Formats: sequence, C-alpha cells, structure tokens
Amino acid sequence: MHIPENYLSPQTCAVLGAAMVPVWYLAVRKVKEEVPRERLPLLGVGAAFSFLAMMLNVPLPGGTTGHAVGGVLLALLFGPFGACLSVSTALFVQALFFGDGGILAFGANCFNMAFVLPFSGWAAARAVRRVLPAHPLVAAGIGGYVGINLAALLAAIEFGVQPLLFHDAAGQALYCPYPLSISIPAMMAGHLTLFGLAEVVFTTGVLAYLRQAAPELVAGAHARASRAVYGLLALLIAATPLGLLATGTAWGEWGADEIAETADFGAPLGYTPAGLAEGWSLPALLPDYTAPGVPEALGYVLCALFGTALLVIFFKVLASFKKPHTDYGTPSTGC
Amino acid sequence: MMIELQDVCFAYDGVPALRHVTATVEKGETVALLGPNGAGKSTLLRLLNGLVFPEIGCYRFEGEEITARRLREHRYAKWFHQRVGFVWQNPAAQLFCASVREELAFGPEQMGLPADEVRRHVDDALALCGIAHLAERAPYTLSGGEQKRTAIAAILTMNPAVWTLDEPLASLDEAGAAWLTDFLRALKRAGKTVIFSTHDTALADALAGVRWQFTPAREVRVER
Amino acid sequence: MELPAWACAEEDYHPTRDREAFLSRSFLRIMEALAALRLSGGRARTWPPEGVLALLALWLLLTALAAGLPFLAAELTALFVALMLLDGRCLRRVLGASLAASLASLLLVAPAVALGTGRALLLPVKTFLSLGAVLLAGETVPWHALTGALASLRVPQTAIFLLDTTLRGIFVLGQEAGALLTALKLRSVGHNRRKRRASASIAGTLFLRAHVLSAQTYEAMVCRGFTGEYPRRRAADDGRALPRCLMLLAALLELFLFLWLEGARARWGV
Repeated sequence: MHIPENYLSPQTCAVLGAAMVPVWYLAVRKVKEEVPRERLPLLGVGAAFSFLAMMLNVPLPGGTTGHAVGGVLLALLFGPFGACLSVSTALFVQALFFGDGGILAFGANCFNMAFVLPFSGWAAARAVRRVLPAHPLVAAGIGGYVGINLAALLAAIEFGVQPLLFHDAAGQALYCPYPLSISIPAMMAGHLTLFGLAEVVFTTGVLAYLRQAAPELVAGAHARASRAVYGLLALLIAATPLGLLATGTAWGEWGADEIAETADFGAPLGYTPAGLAEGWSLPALLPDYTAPGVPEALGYVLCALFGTALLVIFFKVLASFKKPHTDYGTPSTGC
Repeated sequence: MMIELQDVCFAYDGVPALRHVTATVEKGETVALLGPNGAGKSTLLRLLNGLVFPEIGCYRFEGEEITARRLREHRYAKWFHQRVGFVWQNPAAQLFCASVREELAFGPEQMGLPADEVRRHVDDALALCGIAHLAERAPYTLSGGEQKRTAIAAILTMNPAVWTLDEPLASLDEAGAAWLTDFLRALKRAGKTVIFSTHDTALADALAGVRWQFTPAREVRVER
Repeated sequence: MELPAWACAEEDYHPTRDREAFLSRSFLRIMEALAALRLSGGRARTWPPEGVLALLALWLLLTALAAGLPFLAAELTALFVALMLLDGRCLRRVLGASLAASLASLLLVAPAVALGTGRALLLPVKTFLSLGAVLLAGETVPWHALTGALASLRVPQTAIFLLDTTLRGIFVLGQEAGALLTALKLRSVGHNRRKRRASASIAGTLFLRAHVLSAQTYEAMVCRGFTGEYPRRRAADDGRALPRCLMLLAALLELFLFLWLEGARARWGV
C-alpha cells in the first residue's frame, strides 16, 4: 500500500500532504497534552511494531504481495492521535532509509495509513465494542479489517484518478496508468481477503498477547515497556525474513523498469509513463531493505533491527524533552 | 511586602525538594531557616535568588512574579540581583577575582558608581569586615574564615536590600561567629531584610524575628 | 558595629542595557558538561567493566580496520540497538556528541568526496561509530569503575593514577567552575566592561585550585596507605556469569561479522 515516488502527480501529493498538516498538528498537541512522559517511549515501540508488520509481506496467488499495518492496534493502545504519530514516523523512516513509499508521496501514504486507517478502525472497533462489550478482541479484529480496507480503497482511488486527470496528448498516462476500474478491484481483491486477514491476525494476536503479558500497558497505566514487549519485538524481528518468501511486487509498487511488462489485471501496458520514467527520486540508503554486500535474509533482519532501534530512540529522545511530572501530594494540614 | 511565596513546589528530576511552601517576608524582617540537612533550605535560597524557579506556585519579589522569562530581561535581572545579595556556604565558590580589593570593587563598578564612590565602598567594607590587611592578597590563598569575610564584604559593597546567607557560620571560628552575629545585627538595624539558613539555634534566637522550620516532608512551618 | 552611612541607605539603582549573552552562554556550556559527568557517576553497576573495556577496544579496532560499508552498517545497527535500551536523556547526550563529531568529519572529507573519492564517506560513519561506542560505555559504566578495570588489563599504574586523578579533578573542578560562574552572574549587575578579564580570572582561579586539589588528593591517598599501586580487582565475583557470557558472545559475533563481511568484500569486491 506504500505509494512509490512518481505514481501520483505532484498536485495530488500536495493536496494530500496539505490535508495531513492539520492532522499532524492536532496529533502532536493531543499527544503532548495527554500522553505522560513515561508512556511516550511506548509510542516508539508501537511505531516499531507497525514498521515490522509492514516488513512481513504476505504473498497472494498471482504474484502480488501485501502486508498488515498495525495502525488499529496502536489506535486501541494509545488512542488514534498517538497511532497517527507512530505510523507517520514509521512511514517516514521507511521512505527515507529504505525507499519504501515515496518522499513526495509521504503525505498521501500518511493520509491512507496513518490517518484514515487508525481513525476508521478505532471508530469501528468502538462501535462494535458498544454492541459486544464482552468481546474486545472481536471488536479489535473488525476494527483492523475495516481500517485496512478503507485505507486500501483510498489508495486505489488515488491511483485510479491519475490517468483521468494527468495524461499527455497521445492519451498515455503521465503517472499511474491504471484507471479506477482496474485499480480498485486490484487493490481490494488482496485487501478484502488475505491482507485484511493479516491485519486482523496481527491486531488480535498482539493485543491478546499484551493483555496476558503486559495488562497495565493495555489498561493505559503509566507503564514502561516491559520484557514481554521487547521480547515480542525481538520475535517479530527474527520473523521478518519470512517476509522475503513473498517474492512478488505489491500492486502499484513496481519500479519504473518493471511497469511496462506488468500484466496484473489487464494486458501489459507496453509503455512507461513519462512521469515515472523521468520523475525525481531520492536514492535510498538501503533500498528495498537490502544492504549491499550482505546476504538477503541477514540484510532484512539488520534493516528490521535498524528501523526498530531508530523509532524507539526517536520517541525516547522526544520524551526526554518533556518535563518530568512530579507528584507533590497535598500539603499536610495544621501548619 | 518584600517577598511572597505562594504554594511553591520545586523538584530536581522528579524528586520533590520543596513542597507547598507558603510564606511572606516583610521589609526589614530577619528570617532564620532551620531544619535537617537536605530539607530544602539551600534550594529555597537558590529560589529566592532566581537561580531556580517554582514548578508550581509563584514567588513574588516586591509584587513582581519572578519567572525564568522575567529574568531573561537583562535590565530586570540586573536590578533584581542588585536588590538580593547571596552569600554562599562555600565562600571559595564565589570569589573569582585576582585580588581581594578587585573582588570587592567588582559589584559597585558593575553598577557604574563613580570611582571615588567605589573606593569609599571598598575601603569601608574592608575595615568593617576586618580584612584591610588582606586587600592585595589573592582570594584563593586566604583561609576559610578570611574567604568568608571577603565574600560577605563583596556583597556588602553592592548594598543589597535583601541579604540571603547559606549557613553563614560554617568555616568561621568563635571570634568570627561573634563578628558575624554583630554584623547581621547591624544589617538588621539598618533596615535590611536578612534571610539565613543555620543549624545554630543560638544565632536564630539572637537575631531572627521569624523562624521557618523545614520538615523532613520538605514543607515549611512558619513560627513567629 | 555600625554600618557606614551608604550601607544604611537604600540603593537606588537603575541598570542600563547590556546583553550578557557571552557570559550566559559559556555558563550554560559548563553546566551541561558538568551535568553529563555527574550523571555518569552514580549508576548501579551491572556490566563488568573489564568486559566493557575489552569489547570497546575490539570494537574500536575493527571499526578502524573496516574498509567496506556492509560491516559498518552492521555495526551501526548494533550500536543503535544498544542505544535503544538507554534512558532518554543519556541517549540525547550520546547521540548529540557523536552526531556533531561525525558532522565535523563530514565537513573535513567533503572536498575528497567532491573530487570523487566516495570511500572518504566512511570516515564520518567511523567517527560516529567510535565516539558513540565510547560514550555508550561511559554511560553504562561509571568512570571510576572503568579506571579500576584498567588495572586488571595490565595498564601501567602511573597511567591509571593520572587518568583517575584527572577524571576526578575534572569532575570536582567542573562543579566549582559552575559555582564560580553562578556567583559571577549574580554579581554581574551592570555594564561589564571587563568580560574577558572576569572569565580569565575564573580560568586562572580554577587552574590554581586544580593544582592544590591534586596535591591534596595525593596526600589523602598516601595517608590511607596508597603506595603508588592500584590493587588488582578480584576476578569473577558472584552473579556476573550471565553478563560475562553475553559480552563474550557479543565479541565473538562482532569478530565473526567482521571476518565474514569484510572477507566477502575483499574476495568478491562488493
């Protein structure tokens, strides 16, 4: 679901980026006010969870791949604004260091995965919770499913409107070449089935584990990340090479050299859109989670470790700027 | 009213050092801060001098609230530091000039007093503190007691309205202690406001009109 | 005792404008450096200091020897993972200092990079790795434990003594410098025509006091039976088995990664 560089027109990127600005502003303010200093590093751990979930690719028969996002899980743990901030940070690290998702498309990716996904999933989970108060995991699962599908739908629409709006005189698309009639079924086929399931499994699985292993974290107390939480992170990191088993490229994430021959849902395109061929892109430090000269699986694990550490460090440093809260108690009487 | 503390709370890294301190000091009053080590006496003196600021509550000096923002105004900060003088527990830590005379002249020169005025202040202070024979010595070569007198003289030349002294008796011998008691009494007679911390109840009895008793809970009980 | 007439009167003082930016800034610098030293003083020890020192030496050696990005990237990841477990404020100090240093070295090699020597880019990375690791060690193990551990690594006694007293001196002097600067600030109530002189006399006072301090320290040590020899720390006390094994494992992993990644680079030129 990571929209790469040059698949969206700069205008689209600008609009979606501008839409994210007030959301980020609100999120930062909310988190500053509501999340205590001790709990702030947990947002980094949450961002790391999301980062790792997005590295665990799931293959779909037919050659494309997809992944869970984990945004709804974070929304249930830290509130939707905290989740927005966490997922945005994870996406930023992915775009900057690993070339996963474009820098220009960062606003659009955040809009789909850091805004629509956690907020809609969180709202859905709360609605279900009101009907079925005894089954919080069911509510979380449904929330995850709703969230990821809504986000995928939005991404598909963003892809799909490109050929309608931006094409050259010969009718060849400048950016993403697939219209809505192709992009929506292509994206939704994966997300309504396997990738949606992946999100449900990830959300409910991690939540169930945390309710057992770190109940104070789920309850929203001033908890630090415990051994159980770091243990789960380590397990996820060790499991990331499984994501390499899915060899295909996700729909809409082909490289500029791949797109002309790609035949997913329709005949091969036969040309490379001009915006893609000549578009601007920043060379990533570790493109596609591979380090040069390092075996693929080890490189993948190293990237997972690197990203996780970076996210946790970022939020820890952020927390250290916040003043510690001191409990002065009440004055003793009679003086 | 000179000084007003209202529900002042302060902490070092989340550990409370002062809790809910509410007290006032009138002009010309003498206040003794009493209590066990680590009860927050030095912290309160630092707070009164605008070196740290309340986390909760407020500290008003002559009706004006003292905050970090207010003291970033250079003019106000200078005026405030001239009004409030601070004698440290360890006098060596506050002497930084090359000779005792320079040390004493530093404050009045800063205030821009004319040269003959500065000279008069310095000579009077040297005589009053009994360190005239040390005038050309370097402060760090002096003994503890002499350093203490130098530190006090260096504040005296600035003529602050409020004197704050942290354990003034520390590093003074018997004669020194008697001199200091005399000196504080003279300050009191001159209408200065004096606030000092001490473990010596005799000094507090001799001088202080008001006692602020620090409790282990880091609160302050005012006894008049 | 009678106060002179001027001291009985109320001072009527209206300061003129003068920005003390110079003084305040140097004051803050010293306070920051002091706070850093104070914090690393009182940490509970969990990692054996000898192990930390040995691992640090291996790390520095291999970092200096490495000639390719793969190994350095692996080291960078390892350093980040270790940093992740630090507390936020320590993290800020370590990251701030090492990033600043690597930025400086980046500026130094910038001409070489501009002329097309891409390998020069390894230098800032190496700077970051080395300084980051050293500071990390300083944050995990208090200074005095590190100097104590030097004895068991058979470093000459004189060197340890010098290092130990220097560190202690820096710590105490830092504290005094902070106090002196505060005192200067409190009495800087007007137009300061002699800023340079004031700070110079602070430096001079500090230097002289350092001299007295080290002599006093030495005398105090002699009085308590110091004859110029540091006792060797007793090896393998209880409850240290797990950290020791972990450190050994880390060292082996580090060596293995070096041989593998650097070897692969040398053989296949990747």
